[in-house]
Amino acid sequence: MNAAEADWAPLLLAAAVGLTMRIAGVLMARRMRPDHPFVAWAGALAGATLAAFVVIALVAPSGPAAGVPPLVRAAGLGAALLAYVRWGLLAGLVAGITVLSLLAAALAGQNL
Amino acid sequence: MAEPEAPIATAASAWRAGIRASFGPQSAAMMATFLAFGAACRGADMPIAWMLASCVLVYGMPGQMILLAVPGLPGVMGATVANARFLPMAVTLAPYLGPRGWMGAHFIAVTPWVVAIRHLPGVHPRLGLAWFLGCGSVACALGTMAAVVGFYSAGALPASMRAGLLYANAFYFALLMAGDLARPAVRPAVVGGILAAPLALLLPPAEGLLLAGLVGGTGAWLWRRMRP
Repeated sequence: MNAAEADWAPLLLAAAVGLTMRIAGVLMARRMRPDHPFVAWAGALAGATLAAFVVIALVAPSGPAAGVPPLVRAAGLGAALLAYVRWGLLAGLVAGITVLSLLAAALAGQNL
Repeated sequence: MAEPEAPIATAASAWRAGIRASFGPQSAAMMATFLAFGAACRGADMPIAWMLASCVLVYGMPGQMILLAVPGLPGVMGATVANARFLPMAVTLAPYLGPRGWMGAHFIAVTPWVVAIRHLPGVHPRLGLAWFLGCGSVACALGTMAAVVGFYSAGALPASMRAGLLYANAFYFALLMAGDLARPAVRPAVVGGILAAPLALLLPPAEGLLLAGLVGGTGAWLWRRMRP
């Protein structure tokens, strides 16, 4: 697909909405305290949406990611969490990706 | 012995301090997710101009991934909901950014926010915006560069490694969530989102995510309000 064929409207609209939300948040803070009920509700909604996004991405992925077997995904996540607890965020991420890649390669009978 | 850091007394020194702060483990993890996003864009046959615009203009990975996966208005809705957390993040940063804080609003995203919320309390509010512009702009640039690398290296990577990179975003946010479970103020929302996630499977992707976030988030908010 070339640039002319791409659907730009959703991207530009989402970017405009995102910038508006960010600016609104900054401007709102002049009138509301961070512990205002509306801000707390918006924060809870944002956190819950991100959590749901992660669960769906790991449990019921779509597209090319769906080709990775559930057990391989679970092993990758387990390795990521173990390394995260022991060594931190970056180590957790590297461990998760590495374990998932190695297991996917082993299942496919190929070398990395 | 390491040289002590120069005090942040001018806008230029605040900007440089922000840039220095943007190089850390969080940024490295963020770059891995952008690398995966670049590879995913290539896999979806999107043009690099679209990918660059997504990184620079949207600059919020869950929203970017949804826009890539879900076409049209449902994708915009899903991206808006997924990136709705920018609003409360902006609220919490605003006191440190001064009266012209809106000028740095575009760079309010998970990684710069995590770095800024640790550093900005030690920076004078008069210099907070300069600090955040340094931190946020470099974080955005690092992510965009990683996405370009991912875009052009996608075809050269073995299929198994591409599979691993496809999960970089999910693992990254899963680990941030795991960290949030230790924070009592955030834990109910994370648990609420996890419990409500099956609702997302009942509807098309964007609407389903909206429903799960609404139910899980509102439930978590009510639960926290009802507690003494």
